[in-house]
Amino acid sequence: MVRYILRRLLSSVLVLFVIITGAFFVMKAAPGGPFDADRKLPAEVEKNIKAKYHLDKPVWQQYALQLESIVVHGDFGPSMKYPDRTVNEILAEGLPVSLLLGVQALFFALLIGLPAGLLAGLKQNTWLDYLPMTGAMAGVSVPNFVMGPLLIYVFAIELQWFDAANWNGLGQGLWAHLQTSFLPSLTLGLYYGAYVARLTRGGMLEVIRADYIRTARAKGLAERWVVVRHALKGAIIPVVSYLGPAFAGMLTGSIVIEKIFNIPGLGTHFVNSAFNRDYPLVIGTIVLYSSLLVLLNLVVDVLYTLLDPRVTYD
Amino acid sequence: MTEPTTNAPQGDVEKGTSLWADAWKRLLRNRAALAGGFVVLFMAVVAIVYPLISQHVTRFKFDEQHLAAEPKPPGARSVPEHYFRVDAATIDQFDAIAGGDGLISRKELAEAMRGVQFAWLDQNGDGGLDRDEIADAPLNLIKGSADETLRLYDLDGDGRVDRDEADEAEITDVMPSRETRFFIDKVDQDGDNKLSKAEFGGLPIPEPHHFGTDELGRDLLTRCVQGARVSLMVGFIATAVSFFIGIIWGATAGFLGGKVDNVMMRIVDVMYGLPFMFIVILLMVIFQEMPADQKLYLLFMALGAVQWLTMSRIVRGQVISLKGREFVEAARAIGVGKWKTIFRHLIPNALGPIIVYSTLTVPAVMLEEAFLSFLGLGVQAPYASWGSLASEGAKAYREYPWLIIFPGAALAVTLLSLNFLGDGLRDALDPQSRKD
Repeated sequence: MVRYILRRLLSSVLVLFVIITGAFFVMKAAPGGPFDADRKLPAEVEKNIKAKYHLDKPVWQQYALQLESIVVHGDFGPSMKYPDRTVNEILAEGLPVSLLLGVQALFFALLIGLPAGLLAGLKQNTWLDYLPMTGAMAGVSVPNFVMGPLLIYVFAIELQWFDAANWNGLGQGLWAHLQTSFLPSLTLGLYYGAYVARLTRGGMLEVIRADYIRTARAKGLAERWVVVRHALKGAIIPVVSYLGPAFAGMLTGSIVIEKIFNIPGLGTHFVNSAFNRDYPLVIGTIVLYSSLLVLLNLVVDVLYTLLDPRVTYD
Repeated sequence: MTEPTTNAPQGDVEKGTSLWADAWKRLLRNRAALAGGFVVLFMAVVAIVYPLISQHVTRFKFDEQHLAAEPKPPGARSVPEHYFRVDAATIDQFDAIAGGDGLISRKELAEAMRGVQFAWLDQNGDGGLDRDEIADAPLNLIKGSADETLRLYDLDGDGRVDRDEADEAEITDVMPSRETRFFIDKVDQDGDNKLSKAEFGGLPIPEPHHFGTDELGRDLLTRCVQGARVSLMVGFIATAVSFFIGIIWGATAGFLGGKVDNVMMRIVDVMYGLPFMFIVILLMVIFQEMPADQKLYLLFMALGAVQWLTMSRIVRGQVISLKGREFVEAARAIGVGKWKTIFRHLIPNALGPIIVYSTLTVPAVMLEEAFLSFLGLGVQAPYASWGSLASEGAKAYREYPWLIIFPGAALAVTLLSLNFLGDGLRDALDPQSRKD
């Protein structure tokens, strides 16, 4: 197991290296630069700026400097668009917001998806099956930038239960935070909740006919305990393996949600930095996202072996 | 799609049902999948015959603008610039419209069109719009209730909005004078920019915008139909891209096995770790300046490249499970080459799961395109996709809800149908995986 984890971490380093290199050279090859202002800068000023960001050096040297700075010091350098701030500062500010959004969305996804899927699986081919499953199908078919405004319209504008235009961090109190974060997390979580429901139902149907469930029933265990003690564990295995991709999807999806709900997270920075050709910030956000993703996939895979003893990686 | 071709013995051999015939029968029994299939088919037909729809049904072009102060609600009318029809009944009114000089100028035409619009709204023909007529108008011409409209525009206080008051309120602005130029250009023969009695065939008929218009006065229905074209094309072409890369990659790895398989699949594993949507976003940002049609190709490629990984894994798994089977052995025994074995024997037999996955890839890709469009990175103006239309609408959904409702609904319904169809296909083609 330890060997497996080490091997995975090693390949993750390779992935991150590929990403940094790819992002760097793609950005370099792109037309336009971070200092293309409407107004032409005096030659002297331009020279100084370029010297500050090492833009006067050959590309491979820039690449080496950047790589060294990231790998050795964990420093992504100063932002080119916001000269008084470093990329690390911007990321440190945006990451907690995006993570919080993602975790809450995941919570909603499981809160909605698991019970719905279990219910549908247990009451197969009754309306308790059809209703949640049709809902789930609709859930995976409505894009979140349609769902978001819809929810805002109903719950924030008509009913005025929530505030959809601001973002309160957890520091401002749980209630204030929920006021602003409930709708975005729900919007983000619904799609994955729908998917989780489908997976849970599938897992349940598979498990409920397995021999060990029949054994449990045969020895006279109450149906409730058969489900809770035995079936549940097997049924959520497909869900666990989906958590990795789901969280990755939520990170990308949060770009849209952050835009709709006006949330100062990482996604906004990523898109803006790409538009602004703010190379250090682009690379910083991409590396951060990728690290999260790689780490999460690893956690999920390890979790998988704990849940399902049949799976081993050695 | 046929069974693996063998020289079937002729004569009185009992005819078995093929996998495909069997699957087809199962699919026909699944009502949700069938309905989904019909909706997808309908959308595809609409997308294909889009030019005809633009010309004969909506009568607007997707990029033709009818400038107004703000988006017009569903039911509002404009005079199409290209596919207009004329109202023959109005020929008799020539002298009244033309005035003393016997020629219709742009200004006179615009004035006449205001009259046409007013007469259309004035149902009882008493020369004023009363409260009921304003409320009854198929469009909410002015934001707010009929009472509000009366309060704002009934300047003389007679409880009705008269013709001059309606003009003031721009209620009658169905063909602004600048748009009359297009009509006169089309009909005018002697080039004096005025219409003589001989040239005048009748006033143009304003056509309704069934879905309303956007902020540039472009007909939303026409744009939705044109958007169907782009959205479906993105979905199907990107899926086709992933289909081909995935099949070739997966089948090669699976069939050759050993070291080659190991290396090829390791590459797939590493690529799985990449945050692909971010790379696509980066690509689309960087090639912002590209011409719109080239960017569309980039979009197909980029989205296809995201999806082929899973496809190749599925194909590889199928091929590995099939390659030990007797029919492959038989093919090798009679001296069929490696590549021919892969493409003639293995892939056709592995098609079931591949088709199912492809069907489910189409909605996923369409959703991704919509996501990119929302960020302003997808399809470029003046072209539109459902995603780009809905994301435009998402910016002002409170004031102009129709801008997000119609394209959003079209997108959601199509995705829903594709998902139902994909689910149905899976149940039909792969009865073992059936969860009921």
